[in-house]
Amino acid sequence: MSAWKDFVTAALIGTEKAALPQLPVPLDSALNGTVTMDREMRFLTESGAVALSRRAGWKPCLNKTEILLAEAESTGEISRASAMHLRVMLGGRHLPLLSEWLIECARLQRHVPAELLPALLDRAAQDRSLRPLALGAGGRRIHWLAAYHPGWKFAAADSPELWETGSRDQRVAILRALRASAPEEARAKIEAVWKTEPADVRTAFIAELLPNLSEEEIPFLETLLDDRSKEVRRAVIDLLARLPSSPFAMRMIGRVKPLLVYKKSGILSRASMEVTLPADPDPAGLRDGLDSKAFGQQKVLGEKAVLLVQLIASVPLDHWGDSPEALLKAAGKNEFGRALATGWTWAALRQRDAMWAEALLDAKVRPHAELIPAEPLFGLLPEPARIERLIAMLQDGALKKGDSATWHSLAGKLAAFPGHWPVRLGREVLAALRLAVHNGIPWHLRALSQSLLTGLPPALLPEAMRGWPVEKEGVGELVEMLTFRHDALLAFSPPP
Amino acid sequence: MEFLTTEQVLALAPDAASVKAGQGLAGPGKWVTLGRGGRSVWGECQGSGKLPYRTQADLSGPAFHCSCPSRKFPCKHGLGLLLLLAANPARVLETEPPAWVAEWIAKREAGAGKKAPQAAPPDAETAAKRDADREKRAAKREDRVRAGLAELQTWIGDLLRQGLAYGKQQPAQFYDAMAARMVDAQAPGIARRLRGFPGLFASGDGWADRTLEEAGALQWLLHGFTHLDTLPDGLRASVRNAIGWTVAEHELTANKPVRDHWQVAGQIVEEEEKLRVQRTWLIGEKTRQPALNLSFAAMNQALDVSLIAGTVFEADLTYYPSPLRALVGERHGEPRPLKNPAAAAHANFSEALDQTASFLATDPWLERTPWLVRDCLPLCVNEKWMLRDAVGALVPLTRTFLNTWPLFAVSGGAPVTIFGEWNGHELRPLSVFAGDRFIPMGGSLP
Repeated sequence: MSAWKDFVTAALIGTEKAALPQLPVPLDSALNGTVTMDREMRFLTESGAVALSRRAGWKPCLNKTEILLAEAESTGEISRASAMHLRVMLGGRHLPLLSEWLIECARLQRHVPAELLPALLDRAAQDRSLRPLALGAGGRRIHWLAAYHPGWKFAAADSPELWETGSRDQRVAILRALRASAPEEARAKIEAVWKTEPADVRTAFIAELLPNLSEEEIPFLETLLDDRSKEVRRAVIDLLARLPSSPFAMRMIGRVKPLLVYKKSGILSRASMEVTLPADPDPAGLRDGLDSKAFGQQKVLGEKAVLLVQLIASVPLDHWGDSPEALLKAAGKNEFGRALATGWTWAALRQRDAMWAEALLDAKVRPHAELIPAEPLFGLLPEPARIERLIAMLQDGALKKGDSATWHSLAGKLAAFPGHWPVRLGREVLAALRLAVHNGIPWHLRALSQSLLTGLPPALLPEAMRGWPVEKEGVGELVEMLTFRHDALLAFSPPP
Repeated sequence: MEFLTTEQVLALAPDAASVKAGQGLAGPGKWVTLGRGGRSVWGECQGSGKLPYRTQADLSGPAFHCSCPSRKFPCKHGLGLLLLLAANPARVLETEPPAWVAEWIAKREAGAGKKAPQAAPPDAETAAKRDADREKRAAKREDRVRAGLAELQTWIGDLLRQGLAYGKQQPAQFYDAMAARMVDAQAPGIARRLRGFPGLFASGDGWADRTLEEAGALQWLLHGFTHLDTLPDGLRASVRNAIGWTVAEHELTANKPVRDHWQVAGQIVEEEEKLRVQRTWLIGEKTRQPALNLSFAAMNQALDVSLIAGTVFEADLTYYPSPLRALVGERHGEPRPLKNPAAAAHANFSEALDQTASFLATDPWLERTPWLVRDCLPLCVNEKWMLRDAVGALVPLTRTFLNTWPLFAVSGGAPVTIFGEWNGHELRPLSVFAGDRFIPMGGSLP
């Protein structure tokens, strides 16, 4: 209605300067009383009348924007009680429990109610580790919804062109999924675009070959030793060192053979290890990544010893021809024993060798943890061995309340368990925690005690909820978290 | 009996802090004892003090009672108790109520019987004197209002003579001072509208349209007051209501109560000048007529928590002399959950607009009208959130509506039934119905 626009323009300028606008015809006859009013009152009266007739006769505009229809869900929605738990966590309380809750939701083939998806996506946008879990619990609706919001693209359904047009993270995600189901197709995808990608993308792509790594990769990887980027070459060597049958491994064996002379123990002699430090690498050695500055600025090892560590770390472990225990014992007597242990630690981690891992953890000769941390070796042990070691450690009383480093190491080792810990182990952790917090939670155990209780097997929760000194500093929150966790898990499958 | 759902309990919370605190108490860990029986639920909650707080609720109200010192109502313990019951009813077992619970229930029942004490009718002389006093007071107030509105006429004329561009540059005190003058003149309805001016000036695109519309509405209110005696009854009531005369509940007896099953279609709490105002929108199942129940509370004090969004209750309702506002009288039976009310809904915006126009004809000063429309598709067009109805018409959502994404998520790209408030330009959704789920959208999610 253009008459209204005239009134607004006049109102902006003020009736002192603006001419009074014409009323639209139908109102003009109805409002004949206004001519006798003063100028402002007349203007306001007429404005009010036009506004009211405009409001009463408001006409919406038409629009045909297409909105795709979300697919119907194939799973059931969670109960109201479960939705309440999710709401609490998305609101910021007991947030550390969200991952487990989402996994459980997906495992039971349920999905979260649509009105909570935006908050869930916002959390997942901030915390990458939540993304796959959110997708698992978000039903089909989450993919549909995410496609409409620029901040949630990570959750949108894949489109074929995403591989060409997507961000680095999106393309990596595509590779990761493909690598899990069809490893060779993933490699072929990388090979096809290799020449045109910048170094950071190439480095990220190479890292995706680690899952399902096989001998099939060797020819491609060998060609990459000549790549322009040092980062890429470093990543490639890390992969090749995991493939004992590669020409790369053979070349490394060739280099190490003259340097390390191992004599097994005989009837009259003990085992011995003679070490010669390597010379500066030749061009072929440089191509295979030998680099005396590989660990950057450090004072632990000399340049030659660094080369030795790299060589040993790239040689297949079964090359050495004796038990790891015997080899480590012999190495322990040599002045370069710790360098050797460091190289073997690296090799054991790359080749995921459980036998070597066990021997290295128990050996007298310690690797240089500043260069290669030995802690991850624990994760290579078979599960029963890990459980026994942890239980021994907990029962031993090695865990002092104030010893924050040991607690963190324990938490790290526990975190390596896929899924929940065995009940027997959980019970020991619980006992140690109860002891540590009987006078209130020490500040350095605040976050830790929470994350430990998050991993407690659910079967233990009923007993874990009882018997805490709740009046002590911080303990009340801990119990509240345990109770919330118990109730939230129970709400998925309430007792009949 | 049906327990309240989590959403319904959260809707009772007086503020966001209470929601958080209540959720913190919704696990059984903090409760030393828990129990329920009949309409009652109770528990003892370990707080920071030595003795646990004794918390109880009457679910039929719902009504709350707690021994904690909180001034909020319901307190976090009451909320926590009902949240716990909603999420985990198996944790609250049916038992004999302890003495402290039984006592309160008995007191409540006795109180209900005592309601509406009949004062002895005054003798003729006192009654006549009382009437005379009342008339004197009313005449005095009318004089004050008349003087105040005469000032307003001059003030608003000056504002328009200098122009809205000039008005936009004035500080908020310029409007607040005039609003304070209107409070003195016993015209609080006008004061409230004047306090809204700075907000209108700052409301972005179209601010001049909205401000001029409001100024025009005030001008018509001034005319209405001048001609009060010659106006028809309905319009006269609207003018008086808009200026700020209130109608006492006992004056409503002239209107016949309407008995119906009332759907609580939407609820919202807003803050106005240190006061919380709760608007509860009802729709009659038989009459198809909407009604608005208002509840006011000072900060931290009790709002009426007995009307729960997403339920239906049978009651006698008395309308004020206004097309929407009504008072809930006697109730019959227990409330039940509200399923999809699509049958009572308008088929498209044009129908809803027609109804709005008919309300405006009786009361041109209505600031908002209720819309219940089915087949609405939420969508974002050029970064503005809209609803589209079955015939493709668009209405914009208010900019202050925070739950656009949850609303869109619930729709899944399919039309849904929406209840909201229409302010003449934009719609503010208060609830959405998807399948047979009722999802309140007036508060914050999660």
